[in-house]
Amino acid sequence: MSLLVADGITKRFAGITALDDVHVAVEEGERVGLIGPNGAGKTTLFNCLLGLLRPDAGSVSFDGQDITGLPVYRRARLGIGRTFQRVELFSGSSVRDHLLFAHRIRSGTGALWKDLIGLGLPKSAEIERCDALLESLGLGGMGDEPIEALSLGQSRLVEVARALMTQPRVVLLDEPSSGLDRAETNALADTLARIQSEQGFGMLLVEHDVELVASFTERTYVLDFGKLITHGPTPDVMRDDQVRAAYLGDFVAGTS
Amino acid sequence: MTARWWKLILAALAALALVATACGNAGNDDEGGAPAATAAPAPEEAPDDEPAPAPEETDDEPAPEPEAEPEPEEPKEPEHRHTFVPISGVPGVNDDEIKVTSIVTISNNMLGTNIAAYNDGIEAYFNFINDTGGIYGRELVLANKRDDQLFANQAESLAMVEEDDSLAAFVATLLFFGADTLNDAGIPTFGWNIHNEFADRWNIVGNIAPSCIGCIHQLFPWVAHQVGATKVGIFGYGNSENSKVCAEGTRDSIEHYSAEAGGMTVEFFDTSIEFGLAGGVAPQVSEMKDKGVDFIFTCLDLNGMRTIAQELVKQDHRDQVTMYHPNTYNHDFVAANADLFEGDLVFTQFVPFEAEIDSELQRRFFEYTADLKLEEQTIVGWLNAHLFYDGLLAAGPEFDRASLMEAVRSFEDYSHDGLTNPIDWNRQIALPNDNPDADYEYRCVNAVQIVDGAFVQWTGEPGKPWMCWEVVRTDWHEPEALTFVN
Amino acid sequence: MTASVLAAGVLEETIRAFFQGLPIGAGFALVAMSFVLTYKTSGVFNLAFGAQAFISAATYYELHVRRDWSIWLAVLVAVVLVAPVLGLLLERLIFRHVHAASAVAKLVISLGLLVALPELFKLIVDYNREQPFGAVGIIPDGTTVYRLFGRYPVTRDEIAAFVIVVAASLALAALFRYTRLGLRIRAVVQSPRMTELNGVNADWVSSGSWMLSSFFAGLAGVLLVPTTSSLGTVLEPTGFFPIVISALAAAALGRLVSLPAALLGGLALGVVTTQMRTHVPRDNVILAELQGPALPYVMLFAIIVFWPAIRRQVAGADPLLGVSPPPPALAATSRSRGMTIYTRVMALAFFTAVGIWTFGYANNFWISRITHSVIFSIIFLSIVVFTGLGGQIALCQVTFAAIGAFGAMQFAQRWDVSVIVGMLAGAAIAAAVGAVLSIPVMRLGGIWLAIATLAFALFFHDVLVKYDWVGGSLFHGRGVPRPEFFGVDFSSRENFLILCIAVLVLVGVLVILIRESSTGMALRALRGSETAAESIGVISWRSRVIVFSVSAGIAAIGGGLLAMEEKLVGYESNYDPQTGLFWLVIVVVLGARTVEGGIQAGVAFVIFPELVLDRWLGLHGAWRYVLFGFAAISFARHPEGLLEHGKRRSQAMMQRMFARRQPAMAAATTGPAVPTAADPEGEP
Repeated sequence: MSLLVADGITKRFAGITALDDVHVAVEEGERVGLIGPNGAGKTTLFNCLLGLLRPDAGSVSFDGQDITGLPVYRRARLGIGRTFQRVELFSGSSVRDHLLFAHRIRSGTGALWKDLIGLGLPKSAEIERCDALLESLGLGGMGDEPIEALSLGQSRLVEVARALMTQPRVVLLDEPSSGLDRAETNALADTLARIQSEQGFGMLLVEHDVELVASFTERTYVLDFGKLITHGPTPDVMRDDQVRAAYLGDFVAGTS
Repeated sequence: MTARWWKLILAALAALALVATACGNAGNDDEGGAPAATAAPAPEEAPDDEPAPAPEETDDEPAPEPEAEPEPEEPKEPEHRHTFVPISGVPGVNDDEIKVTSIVTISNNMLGTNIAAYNDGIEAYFNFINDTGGIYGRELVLANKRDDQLFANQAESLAMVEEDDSLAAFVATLLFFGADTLNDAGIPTFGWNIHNEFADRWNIVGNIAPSCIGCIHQLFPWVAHQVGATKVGIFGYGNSENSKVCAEGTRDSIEHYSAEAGGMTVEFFDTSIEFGLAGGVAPQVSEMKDKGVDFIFTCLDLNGMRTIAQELVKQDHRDQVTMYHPNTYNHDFVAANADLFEGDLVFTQFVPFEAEIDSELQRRFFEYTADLKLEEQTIVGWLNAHLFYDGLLAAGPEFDRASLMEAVRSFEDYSHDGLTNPIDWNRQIALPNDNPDADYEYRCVNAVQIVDGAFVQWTGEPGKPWMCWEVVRTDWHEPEALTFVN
Repeated sequence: MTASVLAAGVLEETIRAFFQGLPIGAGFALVAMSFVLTYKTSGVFNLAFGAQAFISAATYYELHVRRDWSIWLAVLVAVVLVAPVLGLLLERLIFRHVHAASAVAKLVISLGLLVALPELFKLIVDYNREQPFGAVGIIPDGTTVYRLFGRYPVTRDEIAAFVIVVAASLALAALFRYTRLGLRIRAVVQSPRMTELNGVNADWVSSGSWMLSSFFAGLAGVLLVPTTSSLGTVLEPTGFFPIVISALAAAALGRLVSLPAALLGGLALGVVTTQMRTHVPRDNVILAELQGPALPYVMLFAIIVFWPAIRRQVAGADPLLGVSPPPPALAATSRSRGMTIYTRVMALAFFTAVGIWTFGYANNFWISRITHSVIFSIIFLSIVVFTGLGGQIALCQVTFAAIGAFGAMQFAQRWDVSVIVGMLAGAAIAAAVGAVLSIPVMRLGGIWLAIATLAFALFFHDVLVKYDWVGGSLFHGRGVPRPEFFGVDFSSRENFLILCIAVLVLVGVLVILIRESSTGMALRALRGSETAAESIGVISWRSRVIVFSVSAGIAAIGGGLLAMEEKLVGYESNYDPQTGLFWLVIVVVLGARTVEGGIQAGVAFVIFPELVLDRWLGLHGAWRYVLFGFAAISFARHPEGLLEHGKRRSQAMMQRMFARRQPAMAAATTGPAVPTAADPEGEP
């Protein structure tokens, strides 16, 4: 049974069908890509998976449990992590705080009464744990930095780290390459690949950057005009004519 | 709620219980009640049962106090009035002056009356005394006028106590949170009694004594009966407990004496209106009109009365109704609303300016306030100052704060030379609601009627403005027209 | 047959109540439309509306009643001249500069103005000697009675108010639909920056809309004069509150943006009011409350909680959200070790000096003032917790303080239980009330939360306090003893001060613990990005309900101590909702984000008017409202508070000085140039 499944998702906005009977599944430990041109419905699907939007038809399930009606935070607590296309960090907090806090939520140790008797202050074990993760993401020694001091690439890594601290079983990445140049994107991809293989969570990568998807994912879904036009192992999908026509468009058609 | 939360709550309760057993309240201290200090009784040359009237050389006035012991009826200024004795260690007193402080709601007053006139009344009285030679060779001076700004009278009281350069305090405030501060410090305090803080505090006396609030009395049905009314409507504010209790007392009184007062009934009763009456009173007035209400009692301020009267006019029922106003003794206001209030009755707690009685104090009042705009608070200040002076006179030339209060509290039949219902300051300390012994001897009504935008004395007879019932008689009977000028 | 007679009677009463309700509703509608107009055209939820209306009403009163100007001239000056000029000034001097600030920041500014403007007016025009009464409406012979259908009486005032309101709403509709100014206003509101790019002068449009809305506020002010009984109430800005609450309910029906909904809602609520008073019996306490003082609050609360449009609006994004820069980090987090030591030593020296003076030399008056400062610091920490850490505005801290005070009083009076227990019970009750109150509204957040909490504060004030089981009995007074526990008697002023200091330290530590621990992190996360916080499992409304509850408890503890200090519950002087508005203003002005900020606000609240205004400058205490009220304007630029801002600046300066002494070292250690604020600009 798949870990995260979107089954027959249909979503309409004011008469326009943004998603039409879309089916997507992510297995445990698998790296999946979701591509499509602008307006194909990627973001809508993403939001349906996360609970920011309620589909008009179809269901979302996680680990066999129907989560279609659950709010964002409940899904997060079940083990669905995410990152943002436009970086969303907690301004005014340090890098480590981002991780610490995610950890607290996950472990359920954030009760008020603990705060009131001093048990809520960051403990050294927690700090070590956060720093270890930062280290492995190449952010070692940056724990105390205010979040505003980071570069965009580093900020994306902090988002990843924050998501990982919730011990997700699947992470949804929303256009992680946006705003990064090629070298930065590659560095990010390398780090992601490494940490994913270490920790074994599933991954759904919603991306514009076909190259990144091609190099990074095992399977790929392709959306166009709200319909799933194809899916399968990434190399096959990349060779699919329909995909080339619909998505890669003139660029590929012209060169081949 | 999870189990963790329950545990937490239980733990909190246990902790609370623990604290409860360990804690008490600091000695439930003596909130006034007893004489502030073990002051020596008044000096020998001043018989403390002999407060003298104010007048100077004139001796045609009766003394204000007929005492238990048959004293000479001759009104005589005590010889010791002008006896100078050097005094040291009494705050506010030097060889030339006796200084007092006033605490008055001047700014932030939203009542619609000029409370600051209270200071005028005190100063007018002091002028009168000083013009006639002062007392004990000294002048009376209102040295410090504090503004309580509505919310700061406790702080002002404390500041006054700490400054310690006044003999006594004069207080006219809309709220009186400084009462215990003054009382506990033993400051003789004279004030405008609109608060329960005037009860149970030895050192605090008012223009009237603590009165029964919301008690059943024949006064209300009698007043309505006098104008031939049978169907009564009653209003009180829903956001003031004071107003509510007052309205309920009126209702209970009318229902109690319903049969005796010609089958009078309470047809309409509403204590849910809000201060400011932003929503108007149209539905209520409609209901009263439907039910044929012909008399309205209220426990409202003067602006509230105006709104009701306007609505009565609008619904063409004004001429059928007499209204009874508790707080409308304001000449400008009534003149400005002459048509609205024609024929209405206004209640006062002193002999109104319109009723001349044979009182030297009243004559002096008019003399010394001739160039002032008279307000209710002017005479309150005047009455307070008079009681203060009489107390000083009774305390003798070697007075201090404690002996001043001892002297005031020894007055047993004090009517401010007929201007108020007589008070036994010795007996009337507590609120009479719980202590019938602390009540007035008479329950009196003094009312004026509004005629052409002016007040005309309505109760009593010429020279006898008060209509009074003996408090001990609860059977229905006609009141007696009285004057308390001695 | 009797049944049909009865039915006819009821029908007759219903029709009558309908016509009686319309004029009242017209008043509500006018105020509601003014709110909507300002919100629509400036994004400001303008609580200062009451102050603007007040100024026009008071000007009119001053000119016509006290100076005998003719009605028309007085109206011309008060409404046509003063009101728009005031609007223009507010826009030019204040709101223009906070264009991009958050809705909450604008709300704080409008609160500051609500506090400051009327006080300033009253300080200029002295009403002390001559109390205002004899309100006269702006319609000549306004009390002339006409009969609708020959039977339902209405006055000329009422007809005029109704006609003016309807005409004004039609004029507004036409303005927005057909004129260029209206179109531009709408465009500017939707996106000021975009409009500017298109070459529309947004500044000018913004001024125009402020003048317009201020004109409406002024019109409301003078029109309401005859419909409320007491000029005393109209001439207090809070005198508008009962009307404002009803009007807010009407405005809420249209989510604060729909003028037609405000008009119809206002009229409908007016009619509901009179129907309730006509048909609902008064012999039951709750029913009596429901047609009396409680009615506007119940209506407003019900609309906020149950009206689906509001929920939808909150779900849709606030276009201005996220525009404001994040609040800068606290000075303490970025300062060097040397600076930290220096500040701490200075603070220690200061407190030691004050302590020695207090316990050695001060008289009772000053000890009492200092105790008050300490207690208000505690109360203000509740604002630090909720507004400083939580980033939300609640206007009912004063009510929680009152609950603590009444708790102490009730326990001591009724059961002779220790006041400390009573105070703690009051705190528990306040925390519970806070939770129950906030659960339905916390999801809405922002201005809705502010409105709902203001409504609760006024509800407590107008409805609950008079009950025995809340405010105590008239006959027993509101005395509160000082405590005694573990054998120590705290009845002397000095001992009680020590107790208060201990509580302050305890609460201060708790606040710091909350800030640095999980709850504080959750709040910071929510402040930083609500979406991101939810993506890691934060339940935003729950975190906020929890801190709201904690903050309610802290306020109640402070309120209880205040009652013990004064030995009574000085409800009217200390716990009035208007006082509560000022609390919020003074705390956010001085610094809502730190414990020091709360303490400084507590000291300023008590000592400043006494020492600086009264003794040094010889000014009336009301100047504090004016000064701090206007200082609220700074909140938009320095949300961390003036003192925190000053601290950061002086810290930067000091560090520059240190750096100058060791330029070589600094250059060596900083390495490649990373420009920071502390860098000396002209340093070679």
